[in-house]
Amino acid sequence: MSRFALWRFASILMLLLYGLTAYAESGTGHWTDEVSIHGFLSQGYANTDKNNFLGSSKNGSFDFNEAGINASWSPANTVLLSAQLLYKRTGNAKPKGTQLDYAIADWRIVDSFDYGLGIRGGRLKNPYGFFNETRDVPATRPGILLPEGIYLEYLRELIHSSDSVAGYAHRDLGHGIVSFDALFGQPIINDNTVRSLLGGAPTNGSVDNERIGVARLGYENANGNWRLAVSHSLFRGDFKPAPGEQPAFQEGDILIDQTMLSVEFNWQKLHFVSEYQWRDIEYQGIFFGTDTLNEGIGFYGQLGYHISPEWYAYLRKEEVYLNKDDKDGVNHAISTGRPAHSAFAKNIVYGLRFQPTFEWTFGMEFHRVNGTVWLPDLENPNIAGQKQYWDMILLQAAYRF
Amino acid sequence: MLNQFFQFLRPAILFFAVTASIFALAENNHNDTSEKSRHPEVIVPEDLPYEALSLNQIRAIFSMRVRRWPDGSPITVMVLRDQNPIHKNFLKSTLQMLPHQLRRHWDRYIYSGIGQGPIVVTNQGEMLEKVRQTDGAIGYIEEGVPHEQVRALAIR
Repeated sequence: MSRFALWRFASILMLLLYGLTAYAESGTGHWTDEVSIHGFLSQGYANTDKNNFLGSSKNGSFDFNEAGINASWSPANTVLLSAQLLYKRTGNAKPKGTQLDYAIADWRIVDSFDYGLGIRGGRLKNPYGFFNETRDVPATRPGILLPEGIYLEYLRELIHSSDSVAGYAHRDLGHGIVSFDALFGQPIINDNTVRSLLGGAPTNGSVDNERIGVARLGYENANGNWRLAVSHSLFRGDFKPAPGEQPAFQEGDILIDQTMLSVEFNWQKLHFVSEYQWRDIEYQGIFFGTDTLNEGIGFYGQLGYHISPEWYAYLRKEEVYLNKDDKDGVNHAISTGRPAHSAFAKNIVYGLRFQPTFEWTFGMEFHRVNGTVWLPDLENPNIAGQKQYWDMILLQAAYRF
Repeated sequence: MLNQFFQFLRPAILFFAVTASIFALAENNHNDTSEKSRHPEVIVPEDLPYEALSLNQIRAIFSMRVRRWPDGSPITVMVLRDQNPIHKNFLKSTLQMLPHQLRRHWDRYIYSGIGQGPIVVTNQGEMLEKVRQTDGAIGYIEEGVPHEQVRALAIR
């Protein structure tokens, strides 16, 4: 499915490029002068006292890399074309190679100082929360990792991007800018996503007819010192188990309904950012023919201080619960046979970042974690042996241009 | 051992933050008196048919939110590197924004494909030359730098 979509969009993009090249060359200037190229590259290191995260981190792991390269070009005043290739290695997860991260045709219909309005199509980043759209670019994140409870890595494929159409608008109100984004399309999922969707269940089943809708309303004051946003996303897919597989799941729908409130303030050298998320995951008839609903909640708050333009120190508190009515995971343990602490995670992060130039970002973080909800089973296959309390040290060096 | 380390870390960070705040405040007061006289000016090519723009319009341009002049022709934004003191001063005293606010917008455009970043030039000489040569360009220079065939744009 994802390969098909990739080729479909690659060919659409090529057609657009050919057509518009001819158009642009009829005017003044050569189009190659107007293509801007950017990229990023990172190397991370993780060390944990118990449990493995981002590779075999109990012995120290360097298996955390992100690399991307993108190009954008405006063939006509109102049109912008852009595409990015992404390579990512996250611990022992099977590398997926280089992927088409986005490929976008953007048509800005209205573009004045007071209003802007446009539409986009292609492979788009979902407009969700403050950080989803640039989640793989280290310098744009509030720390080395995004808050895991909110920007859950194992649901990344579902929430991150989609082959879709979108509309956007913004208006300058004088005291600030209000913006709106809406998107509808098909998420990019693979076999691993299907298993993750079923809470790590060992299924070879498939998800078909998957679709996602995302909307975000934001406000930012005129000098950008504070901003607010509310985002909503709704995923729906039809799960079909593989014939004769054990345990016997049943055919049914999966729904993921997410709402997020985001807020960020800057006051002189102080910085505060926080997001709160409601995540409902509903399985309709898949487990024993009954409906299962997990009403999850998660939030984080980060207080940071810009010691100088280059140095930034921060303290972050994160909490996430699979089900708000079962915060300690007792019912979760009974119904799934997994440890109770796999239903939540509470952690505190101490971080320091050094950005000597635009290009370079160096970070270090200490995580003190209670709970394993976002701990990947892949790195810790002995599920009963996953430890509730664990600490992690992360280092990262990143370059961009 | 990690346990003890974390117990040590909390008061250490607190102490560090308080000390840094005091230094930062002292530094701020110092900067306010020394940089007041030299606000960078916004410059455009001489033939651009606009005399003055509001502060919010200038911000809309430099944050890359608006892509076209009111007549429909493209805007080309030129800036110095993030670390350049003139750039920092332009953000602080002309746009009255924090440096990372503008960068945040540019990053979202550049790395999610929904816009473009500004053109980065290395010095004021290159800034002057590129603004002069490019239709619909906009940039900035320090007040008092001699300039021909570019014009300062008033902020009303």
